[in-house]
Amino acid sequence: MPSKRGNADTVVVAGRIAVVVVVFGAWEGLVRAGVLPVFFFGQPSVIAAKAYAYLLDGSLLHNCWVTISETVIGFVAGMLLGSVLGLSMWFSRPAARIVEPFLVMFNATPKIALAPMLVLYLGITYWMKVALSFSVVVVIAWMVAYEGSRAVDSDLVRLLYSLSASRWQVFTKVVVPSCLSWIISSFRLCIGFSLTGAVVGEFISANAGLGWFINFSSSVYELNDVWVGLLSLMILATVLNLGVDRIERRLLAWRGAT
Amino acid sequence: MHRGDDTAKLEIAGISKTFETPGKPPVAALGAIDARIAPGEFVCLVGPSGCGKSTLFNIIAGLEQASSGAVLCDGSEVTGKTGVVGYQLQKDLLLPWRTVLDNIILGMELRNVPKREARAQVLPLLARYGLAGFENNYPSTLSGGMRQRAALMRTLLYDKDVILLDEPFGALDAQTRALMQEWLLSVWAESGKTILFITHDVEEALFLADRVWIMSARPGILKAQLDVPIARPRTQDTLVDPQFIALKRQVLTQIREESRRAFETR
Repeated sequence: MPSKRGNADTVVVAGRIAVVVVVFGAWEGLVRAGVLPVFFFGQPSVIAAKAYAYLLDGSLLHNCWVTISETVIGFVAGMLLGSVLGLSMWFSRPAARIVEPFLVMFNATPKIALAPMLVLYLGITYWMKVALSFSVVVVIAWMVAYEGSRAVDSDLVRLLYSLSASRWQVFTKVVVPSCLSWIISSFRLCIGFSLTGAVVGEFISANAGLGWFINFSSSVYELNDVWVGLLSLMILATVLNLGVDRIERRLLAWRGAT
Repeated sequence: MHRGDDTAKLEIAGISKTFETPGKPPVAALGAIDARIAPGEFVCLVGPSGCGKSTLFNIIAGLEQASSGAVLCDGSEVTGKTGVVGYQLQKDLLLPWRTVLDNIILGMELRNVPKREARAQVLPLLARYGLAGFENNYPSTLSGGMRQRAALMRTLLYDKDVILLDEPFGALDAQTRALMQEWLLSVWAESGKTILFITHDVEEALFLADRVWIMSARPGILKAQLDVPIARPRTQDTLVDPQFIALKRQVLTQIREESRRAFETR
């Protein structure tokens, strides 16, 4: 239906396309005119041609797949274990208080600092990257689930007890679902961290993955290749975000449209 | 519905409550309260804020421990036991992640009635509560009145003879509130439940109750009990009945006295 709103949307889309065209056009033009040295900046037309070639020979998709799978495995495993640990702290306040400062310390530490140790334990393997990505996510999920379990509406808990619920019933009917909304809300944050973990892991030592490809291309001054990797990473991150967004919206449908 | 016989549904025998916080002087919330409610009776509890009404409810529901005294239901002691009475607070406390239907069956679910069976049992009753067609809605999409009806339905379907309602209509607008009051009376008349109802609103108390308990300022005791001998069914016309107005004046005078005391000792 053509409406003011529809027209406004068209303008926005056209504007976005214009931004892309102008930025890449100016970049290409400035390189061709010799203002920007291609050695340092790369050249859009060459980047596109290379990306196409890497798509055809399968190397680009392979690198994407390695990074995506590391990210997703680390994310899912970290989320699961972190949530279970955080939720279980609901059962014992004293135990939770004992663990809390260590959790806070661990959370404050950049998990990337674990990388050298992970290399030592797991070698320069695929699982080293998964482990790095996992270690970033697990602490956040743990923290979020713990905070969520402390923020459970005490009146809801009281209601359940007034209905003669057992402690386990309170946990499964109120604490878990109410924490889940916290945990799910942290998905978007965590998928980003998880990707960072995987890419940094590939920077450190790898023979596949977008992080490795970017790092390697940069070390041999192939700026066009660096851009291929970087732009692929941008697309990949966006796709992961959209996927997580969709999952979040579906799982939290009860919050209502507003 | 008469006092004085020995078949009290609920008996409150010398219940008192003192809150003890280490390092602070103890706070007496409830003095000794003695009261009885007959089967099927509707009693409203009014009193100045902070007089311990909700504390009394928590004790009856077994959620808080009394410092002394006992609660008896059908003559047997149930002090500190949960699950003996149905209890509803001012907040509707619907679980936001559950549909209306799944919220209503919560009490049954906790008694291990299979979900499917509970749903089938509840579905035909929704119309009576003005919730037909909303069974799959989430609470966030309902009006305040509907949410309260759903909460009330959950409380009633928990199927206890005694129901405690702590200001259930406190957050509703005046129009919805008046409708909900009439609706509650009709549901109560059908169900034969015994209801103990907290409210700040004297008019609401007199409109609903067989008997009104007036609580004193803290430490709360039952200062007076007043029968409301107004015929049922009651309608909006009841509110301008001379007898109703006379009763209202009587209660208001007593409450005002207590509220002033509560205000001055604060």
